[in-house]
Amino acid sequence: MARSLYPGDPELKSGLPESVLEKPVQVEVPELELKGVSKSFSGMRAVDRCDLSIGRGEMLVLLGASGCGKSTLLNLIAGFETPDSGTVSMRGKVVNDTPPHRRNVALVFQHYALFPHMTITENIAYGLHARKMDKSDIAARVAEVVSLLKLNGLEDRYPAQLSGGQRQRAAVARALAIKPDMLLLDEAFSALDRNLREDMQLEFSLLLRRLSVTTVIVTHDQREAFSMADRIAVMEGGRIAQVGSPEDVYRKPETTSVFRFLGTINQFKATALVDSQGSALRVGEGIQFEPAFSLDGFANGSEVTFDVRAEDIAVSETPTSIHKTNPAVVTLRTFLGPQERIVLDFGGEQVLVDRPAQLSFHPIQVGQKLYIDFDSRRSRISCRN
Amino acid sequence: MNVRPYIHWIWLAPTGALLIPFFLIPILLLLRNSFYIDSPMGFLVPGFTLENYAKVLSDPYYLRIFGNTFLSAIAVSIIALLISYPFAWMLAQASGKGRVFLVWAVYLPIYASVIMRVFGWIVIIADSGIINEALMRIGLIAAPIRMINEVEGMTIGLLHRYLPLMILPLAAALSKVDGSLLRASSNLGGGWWFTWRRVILPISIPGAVAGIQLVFASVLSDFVIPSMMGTPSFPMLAPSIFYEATTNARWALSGAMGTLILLSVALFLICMNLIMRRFAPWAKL
Repeated sequence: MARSLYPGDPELKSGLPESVLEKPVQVEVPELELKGVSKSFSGMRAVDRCDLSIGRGEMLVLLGASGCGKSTLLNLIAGFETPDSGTVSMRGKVVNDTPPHRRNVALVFQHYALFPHMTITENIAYGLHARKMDKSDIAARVAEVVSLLKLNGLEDRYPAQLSGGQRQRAAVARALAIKPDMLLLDEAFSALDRNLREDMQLEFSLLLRRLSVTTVIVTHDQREAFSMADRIAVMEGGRIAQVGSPEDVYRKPETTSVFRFLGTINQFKATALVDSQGSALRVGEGIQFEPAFSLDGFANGSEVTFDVRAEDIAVSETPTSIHKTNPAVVTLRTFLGPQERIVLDFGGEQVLVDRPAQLSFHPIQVGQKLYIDFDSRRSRISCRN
Repeated sequence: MNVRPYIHWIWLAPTGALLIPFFLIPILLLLRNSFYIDSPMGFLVPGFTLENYAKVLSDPYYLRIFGNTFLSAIAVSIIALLISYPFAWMLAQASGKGRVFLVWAVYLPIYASVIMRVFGWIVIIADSGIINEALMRIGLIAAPIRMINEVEGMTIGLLHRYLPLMILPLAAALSKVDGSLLRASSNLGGGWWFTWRRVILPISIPGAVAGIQLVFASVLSDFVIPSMMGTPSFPMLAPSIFYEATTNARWALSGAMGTLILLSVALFLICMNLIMRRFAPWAKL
């Protein structure tokens, strides 16, 4: 690592401590266990029979589009909602009917919800006063989290006097001060600028792992999910579609919808060519290949839709093994820093190609003709007509 | 001279054209008059004396008027605060149609003429009014309870007139207590009493202070309600000033009374602002 992220932190200065990189230890009793949890609002199922188990010290991300039920699930964990059916257990104890203020779970809100009439110190001490701790213990704990979150010098400021990043630190400090069994982050990074957001994600990833705080992060942002998660639970339509490591959900999606939700997808309409010799797919005029997935059950000539991620498509100025005629035409090329995105018109269909930005003497030009290539193992059949 | 930095003050010209001749100058004249001398013939004689102030501040008759007025202003402010608080909380937390209805309920009385409202109250609380009629009809009382042209009736009238001035700033302050703050409190282990004491009450202080300032100052200088619903046995300041100026033709004395009330209001506003700076320093951020 070239630059030190934590100039003031001697522990991290000399490289990451071993424990930070260790996988969380799965203990017998999970920190949190959801069994068949459902919740409806006026007939709409927001959360639908969710099962989830989170180990101590684990960082789990609930990832999904808005309206997928992830925030409701978070509210069920925090105790702001009661499940219609199923059980929420913490450390083996069912807490369905435990009110929020009796659960030792700390939530960091999207807009932080810092108390505007309290200084940072008072905000951090709030949960400790609620627990009727001694004054001296409160002062010690506040000082501890202030230095942990690098809020030194800001103790007597009001939230309105802080920057967005400082407010977020204060919100996390307030949450950690109560030594919660579990920390919940509800879209907690979405209000920050991108650079700051990535810095904070990295900092909190390291900090929370160092403290081995069990953390549940709710987000719709894939980058955030991938950068922070030990495991990701992809949610859609109130259900947990898949739970797994970031690599697993990305590389081995169990459902088409998970595949489509993650990354940038191209959908191709193709014709199945099935005969006694074998099977192939023909895309428009020009592309023909043998798919890695089975075409059993498809009649010859039937329509198939399949998906390929933008980064799994290669382009070439000369015909490729799967694309021999009717090259695609470049309609746009955008430079994204480390990457470039090429937008192609292939027989009236739009195709997106992402690849590392090329240091070429012949940059891609609009109007240029290109041939498409992809590894059929990286594609996925999504629809059978 | 470069006029560019000052040119935007031109926007104040229309209000200035109205307020300076018709508001500021009369007040300055009033101030000047308060140092003049009332002749027994009812003329205002130019001069300089502090006798008017001395009289107002020493004569038990005038002191009682000031005392009555301050007492009602304090009482009405406190009662208004207590009545408004739950309503303002409801208003601040309401949304959609419910909110529209509540806001409308606050504004409606302001649209009705204060004279009409006084007559409305007379119909209700007069000796032969609705309340007394009903109580006598069901036999709870034998003779009517006297409310109109009593301190009680005047207090009801003042409360009704100035309640919106308390509700609106209070609701504006309480609307800063959004759902996420309440949930944050609960999440951090605060029960309802803890949340009320540590979150809702302190956040409402600026609104309560603003409401008290408005109601207090308004009651101090109210003329209509004390004259129509009050009683001569509990004289209030504004009708008394009017009486001194018109009936007794003591312009200098009434000028001194007017100046004193203006100073009291100013002093009160400053005190309340100091209280606010002490108890809600965050509100100015």
